[in-house]
Amino acid sequence: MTEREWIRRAQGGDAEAFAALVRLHQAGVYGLCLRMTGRREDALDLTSEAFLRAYRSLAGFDVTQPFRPWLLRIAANLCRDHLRARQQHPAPVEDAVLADLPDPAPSPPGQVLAAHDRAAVRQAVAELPEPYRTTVTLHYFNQLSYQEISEALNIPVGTVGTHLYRAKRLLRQRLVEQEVATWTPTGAGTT
Amino acid sequence: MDANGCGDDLTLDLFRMGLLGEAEAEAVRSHVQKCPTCQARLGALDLEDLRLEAALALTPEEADVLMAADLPGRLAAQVSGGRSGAWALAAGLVGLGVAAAAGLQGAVLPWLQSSPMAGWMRAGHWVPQLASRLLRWVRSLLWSRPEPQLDVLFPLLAAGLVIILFNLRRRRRRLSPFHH
Repeated sequence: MTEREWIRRAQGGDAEAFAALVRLHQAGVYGLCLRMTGRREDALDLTSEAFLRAYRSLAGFDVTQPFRPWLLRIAANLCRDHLRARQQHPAPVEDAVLADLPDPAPSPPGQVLAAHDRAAVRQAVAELPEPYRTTVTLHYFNQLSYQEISEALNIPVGTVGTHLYRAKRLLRQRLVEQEVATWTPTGAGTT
Repeated sequence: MDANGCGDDLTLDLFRMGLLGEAEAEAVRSHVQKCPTCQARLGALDLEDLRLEAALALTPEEADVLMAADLPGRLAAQVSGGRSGAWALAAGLVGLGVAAAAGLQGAVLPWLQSSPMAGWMRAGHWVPQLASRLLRWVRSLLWSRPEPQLDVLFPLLAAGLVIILFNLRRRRRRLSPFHH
């Protein structure tokens, strides 16, 4: 059975079809929530709530449209509300401020991220301002295209590109700072 | 674009994603073909993407947590329960409406008096006496109003209040299944 058929049946109130949709998309939604909040329990709660909201709104969903970006949009909005309510992260930095950040000279693209382990990269992503973190996660974890992210977040495609570009610039900068902070004079390099 | 004609990282990123205009994309393409520096930068950007994808992917432990939560089963049960709850609410509201209409039309009190409970009521038990007094009081209150539309308005307001209280209660009671 195709995803579209599951959606149609779930629209008619079929709980089994809804369960099939959850099974199909739970990893994507959970991963987004986890990378956005950094807490497993919160991520499970938000995943659960995202699917329930999707179910309640399913009657108005156009089955000719892609389901995944629509679902991820619901999840991303929930994560934003959650973070805003808990104020777990610093207020989003204005784009204009971020645009003025200089590129660190010794960090050409690729080299810094390549040199770091998964934990360091995740930590740096978790510290990104919210709009950048959302865009990075939707692109690199959920594999959404620029166009799909644009539709999911209701921002222009060019803004998606700018967000990703600036996010990566910030990531390089933070990873360089981490490398400097953890560098040891024994020659062992980074931790 | 610098003195060598190399575009900035954003331009290269947009070029990789096919988001540049046709003319600009063609200019970047022809430049990259003869510029080893830009070829290396494009390769580095691709590598960076792969690193980010690998870093953000779910680990087996994270996936295990998700599987253990059994979201499909829990959520399917919840939406099934929600549907039966909605039916119960609808049935309750219909019953409430019927009861309100019957009470307003004076059907309840005569029915009670003619029922087997009538003897119990006459025996002076405080519960039926209180209920009877309340019913009489509500009826006198409603019938004494000059506007007949209030006869409909009061039960509607009462039903609305019940719905609001019911939803508030449900909202408060909706505890997270994952927080202990």
